[in-house]
Amino acid sequence: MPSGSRTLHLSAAAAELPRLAAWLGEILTGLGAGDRDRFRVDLAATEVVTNILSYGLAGQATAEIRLEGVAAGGKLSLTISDGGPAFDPLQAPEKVLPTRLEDAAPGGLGLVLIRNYADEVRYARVDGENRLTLVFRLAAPGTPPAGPA
Amino acid sequence: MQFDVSTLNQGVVRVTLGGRLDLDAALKLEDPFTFQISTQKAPVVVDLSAVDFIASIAMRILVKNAKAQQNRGGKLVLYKPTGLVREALTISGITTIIPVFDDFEAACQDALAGMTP
Repeated sequence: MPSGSRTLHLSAAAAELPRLAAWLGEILTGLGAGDRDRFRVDLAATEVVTNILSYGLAGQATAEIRLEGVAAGGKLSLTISDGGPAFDPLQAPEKVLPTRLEDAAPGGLGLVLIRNYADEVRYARVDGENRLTLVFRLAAPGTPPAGPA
Repeated sequence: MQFDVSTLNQGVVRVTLGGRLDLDAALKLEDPFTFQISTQKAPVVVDLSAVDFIASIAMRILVKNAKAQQNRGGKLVLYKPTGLVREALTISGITTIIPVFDDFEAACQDALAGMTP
């Protein structure tokens, strides 16, 4: 697997999400990632950026979200940085999933997906920025897809 | 993003979604979806077979409209999500609270049978 670091700068706007998907797609193609790894990296990163757009940087379309991807040793680490108010998603209570439709309440599913799809999640507040790092252990090319975590 | 609505035999409303359902798509989808699907009681089958990516914000639209139908005496069910989309729906608990079918006729029958006076 090739190693290296790639960086993407996004404006804090939903219309930027296709750029995120394209950037991740290029990285994952370069790493020879399979369909399930592509899906889970894409979904977890999209959920993090969506949370930033919807809460931390809501209404601040000129603010910036920075992503750095580092591939090494069969892992892809994505660090997503934003200058919004301090928010550590790891401190958020685990959402209790409803068993009946009438009990379903909006919110919290993004964190459920991030926690399930990333193999490791780390948070730091550095220089006035939130820095959330998602680590994915990628299946070797040609490996049968794993099931849900 | 694809969004089509058609009415079939016995009044079943088929909603076909396709492509990438992320925040950008969800913002464009939410109002038309709710307007067309939840302003009247109906048996609704949401065809997810052409959806290749679904974020939580789009799942929320499905749940909101399924609840709205239930409250009106209608029923919304899901049809044929692909493997990866189905896994995401399962992790999120959606498949526990909204029925999912791989057979279109079975989906229609369940939606019809779930109608209450």
